[in-house]
Amino acid sequence: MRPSRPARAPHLALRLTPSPSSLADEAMRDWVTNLTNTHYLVGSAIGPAPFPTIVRDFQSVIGTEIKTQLYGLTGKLPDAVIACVGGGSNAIGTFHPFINDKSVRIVGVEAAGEGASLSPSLLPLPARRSSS
Amino acid sequence: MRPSLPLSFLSLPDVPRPDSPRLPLAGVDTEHHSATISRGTKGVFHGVRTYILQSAVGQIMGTHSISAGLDYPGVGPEHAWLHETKRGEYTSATDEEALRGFRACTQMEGIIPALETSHAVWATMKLAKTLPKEANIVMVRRAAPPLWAGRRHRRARALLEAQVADALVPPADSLGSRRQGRAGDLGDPAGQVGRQARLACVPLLSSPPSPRPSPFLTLSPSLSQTSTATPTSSRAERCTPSPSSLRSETLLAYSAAVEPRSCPPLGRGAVLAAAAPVTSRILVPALRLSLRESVRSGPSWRRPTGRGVSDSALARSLLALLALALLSRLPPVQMLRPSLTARQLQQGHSFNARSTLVAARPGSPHLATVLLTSRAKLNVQVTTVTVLEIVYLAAATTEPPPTASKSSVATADASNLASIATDSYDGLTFVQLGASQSLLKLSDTVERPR
Repeated sequence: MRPSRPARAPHLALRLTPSPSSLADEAMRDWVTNLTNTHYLVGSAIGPAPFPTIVRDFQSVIGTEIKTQLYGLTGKLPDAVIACVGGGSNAIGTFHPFINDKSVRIVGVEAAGEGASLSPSLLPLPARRSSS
Repeated sequence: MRPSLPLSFLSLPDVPRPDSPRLPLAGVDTEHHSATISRGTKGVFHGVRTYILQSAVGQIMGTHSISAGLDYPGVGPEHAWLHETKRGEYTSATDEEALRGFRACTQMEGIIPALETSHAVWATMKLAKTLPKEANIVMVRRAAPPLWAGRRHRRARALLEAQVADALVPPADSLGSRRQGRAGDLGDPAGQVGRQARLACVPLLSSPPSPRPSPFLTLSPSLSQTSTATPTSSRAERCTPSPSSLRSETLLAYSAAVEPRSCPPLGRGAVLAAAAPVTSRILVPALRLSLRESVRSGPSWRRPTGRGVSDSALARSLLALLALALLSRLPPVQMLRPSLTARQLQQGHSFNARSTLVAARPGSPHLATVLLTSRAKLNVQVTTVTVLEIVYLAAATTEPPPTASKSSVATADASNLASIATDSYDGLTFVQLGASQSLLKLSDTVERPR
């Protein structure tokens, strides 16, 4: 097992908060151990099916409201929707109603931390598509 | 209507290829990131087949991000699908870029985003430059941190907001990029946003939309209410956040930053303390920025003369001194005046310092500042705590058992100091003071270095 976040955290006599990954590790570990009396409620669009779908559907209220309200205000769809992507629940909830609207650019932003070289196609945001 | 996953995605080879050639590109290529889609390989994690960050033998790798919510080695499977089918575009923002996005949004709009959202702010600003004027971009922000983020995230935000909020007062002068390749990216970023595209902010959870006039187009959380804000050109108005849009701790941090004397819960001499686990993560980029700025803004240091000196002038002078000392490689303790600090300390201010932090910024005397320099091998350290009028200065000789530091830190309740940890980064040393009790009283004089 990989070292948990608290084990890697620095030294001080301070309360440490584990990372999302560690929390999900532990929750899943408990879940699969006690399947008879445990139901796993996940907060992000991760994990085995159907959890990502469930989370996606509930979070898609965001995208639906964006679509409805922006259409009411401007009479058209947005040109782009942008969200940050960690596990990606809010992002997928935002993106989902726009997936079939090809004129809407869907942009997810990941955390590159202290820097990560990206594959060349990803480094700059691509040019505007002609379909809109 | 949910599109079905193409089967080709499931049949792709899952062998990670860490040795696959990656083009060396501008910027830093490190392993400290959580850019799952951009850098990950296909694998199974937490019961789902998606892009993950894994080692050559399939072990999940550690991730890093300045924000807790993005610090996850996997990504939702549907994002992987969007990426595979080229429907979605996935980019990334580094910690520094996120901080710049954070600052830009705070500074220009008075909307304090989550650190997660700050990544999206940066990408939004970049994208807005490529779009025509009438384009509508919707950026989704998280109005509250996820539950799993907990104290780490909240405290990090409080600290960052405090640090960034004082940048609200002067105009945006310091957003120039450190890296040459990005120098053009962020000139007047929010102005670009305001001119080129209308940006909608959708609070995800519960916070009501701000009634503050803003060039942002505000969508209300409920479908029944919509409000279109009117643009305003007044910087002062735009920079004043609406209390209703900020959570309480944010408000504390902000009001302490802007109006230190009218902040009832904290009061003068209060310290906004930050949790230590994030100190190096948050503060290394922030501190590098602020140090650079303090050096750049340069000659503002003057000898503070007597009691009449203002807080900010005092702090600015000290910081400039320290920066100067850093540059000239002199032990800064020789350049500071302990009599001044002793007098200030004898006024008996106290502060709430569970763990004190680390920030150096001209004009931000509201922050406790634990500074900062070291000679080789940590032989000489200068620790400065600047709290409004308090300047606390101690020289510590830190030998690897940090008990030596304890004794040399001249607080009245030095026994309350549970630990002193140092962290070296890029020639600077960050000092963390951990207090075993929540209250440290600064009422003693300063010990001279040995």
